[in-house]
Amino acid sequence: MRETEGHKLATGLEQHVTTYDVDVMNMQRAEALIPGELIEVKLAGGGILKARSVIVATGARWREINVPGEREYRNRGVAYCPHCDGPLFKGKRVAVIGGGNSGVEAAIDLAGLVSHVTLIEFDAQLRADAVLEARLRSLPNVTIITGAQTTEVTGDGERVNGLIYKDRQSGALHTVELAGVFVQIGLVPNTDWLKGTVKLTPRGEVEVDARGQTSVPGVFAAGDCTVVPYKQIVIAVGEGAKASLSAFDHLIRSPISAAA
Amino acid sequence: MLDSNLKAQLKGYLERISEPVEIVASVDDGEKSREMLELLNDIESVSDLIKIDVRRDDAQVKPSFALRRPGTEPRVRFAGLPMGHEFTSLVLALLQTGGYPPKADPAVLETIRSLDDDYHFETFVSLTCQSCPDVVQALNLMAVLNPKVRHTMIDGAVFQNEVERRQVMAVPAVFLNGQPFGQGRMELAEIAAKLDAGSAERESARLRAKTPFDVLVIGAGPAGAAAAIYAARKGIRTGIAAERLGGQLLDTVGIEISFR
Repeated sequence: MRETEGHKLATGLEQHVTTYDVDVMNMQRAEALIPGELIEVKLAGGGILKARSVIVATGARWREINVPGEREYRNRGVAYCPHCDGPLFKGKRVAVIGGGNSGVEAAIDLAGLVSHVTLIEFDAQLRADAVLEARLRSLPNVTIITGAQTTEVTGDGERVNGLIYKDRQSGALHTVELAGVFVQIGLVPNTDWLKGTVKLTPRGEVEVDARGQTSVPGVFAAGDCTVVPYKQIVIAVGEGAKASLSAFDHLIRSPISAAA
Repeated sequence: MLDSNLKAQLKGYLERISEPVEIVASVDDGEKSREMLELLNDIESVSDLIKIDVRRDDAQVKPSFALRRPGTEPRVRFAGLPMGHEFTSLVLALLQTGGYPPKADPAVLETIRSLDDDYHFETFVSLTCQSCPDVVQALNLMAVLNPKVRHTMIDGAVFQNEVERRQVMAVPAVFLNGQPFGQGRMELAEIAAKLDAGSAERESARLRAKTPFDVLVIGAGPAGAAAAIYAARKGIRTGIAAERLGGQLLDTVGIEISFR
């Protein structure tokens, strides 16, 4: 496979899952995990599921800037993944919001694809590694604006046509005309429901060892909700397979009394 | 209005209708009304079971038309012309009103049939919106199945005053009995669950009664799907619970590189 689409891959995976004898429970949000010989997962709405092993693969969501236009133009110019969506903006003007490592990396990445990148950072200076910042500053088609608060993403009803930011020192509003806005202010792991039971990093990522084992026996984790670097689809697929094999290893080594 | 090719296709589909369908058209002297009547005449011309009833003095928005079985109140209405991505919605609504059985989970259909309040849904769409038809078709089906449910699709481009008045910023936007109900892509099961007060309780009882799993996966993005597939291949009792099958994949348009 060389290329595909999110929907197609999702449908493909879903169909693959349903060819096996898997109990698929859609529209269920996990709210708590209770460790034990039989682990319990409490669901929103009152359901409880029990299992001898659990694999946490709740993913992450893009942190949003929360300004008018962001939601309206999501996937119509507002993007969160430069690796995925960058090529769609070939030859166009875009902005990257966020001057941390991921924002600066995104800007460097995009500068090779698009005609011009405006990088907008809230702080008075960039927060990325010096090497990255130096590389960014060496690029001819990048403008860096610091001390700037994005206040609105504008569009023509169909797609993004610009953004408005406030100069935090003068308070003046400025408009940048562009076709795409990449929001790179981080990912938020969907792990709130594990706080206090499974060991998380200060950023909320699930700590796992090389086998995908978490701090709780029988509980494994995989994909974007974990500490594993580079949030990529292929990596998530591999990590999911690994966690599953580890869970199987755990099960065959567990006392029979735990068997349900 | 329809070219001969599309007409031939439409004729093929409408041959599956087994019961008579009346189209009640509400028109004025405007250009849009004239176009709508052309479309409806084209539809009437390809099926013996479809009849048009034209009203010029009723209280309905114009131009609009509604579908009904003779002798019943119309419950599925289209305000504006359901062309573009919504043409499929029109064909499906005709088929389902005409007795063609819907393809959906029987449990969900049962939930919809048992809804016992009066529900009037209105969905604002644009004819170029890709996620709109899913929502329109789900609500149309609900209106076909349950006499207490009515649904109107509104083309925002034709009824801009309504768009302004209701402050619709993105489509699909769904209103229930005049109040905002939901925004964006929604599945039939999701809408049904949101309306059915008892469904949450039945669902949680059903989940609590499940035999413990050997492996329970939480999340159905790439990591979760891979984990479930690997576990199921071992022949152990596997479950997967998720808020939405597909996870972040559903928000990703193009996937390149990842699967090279």
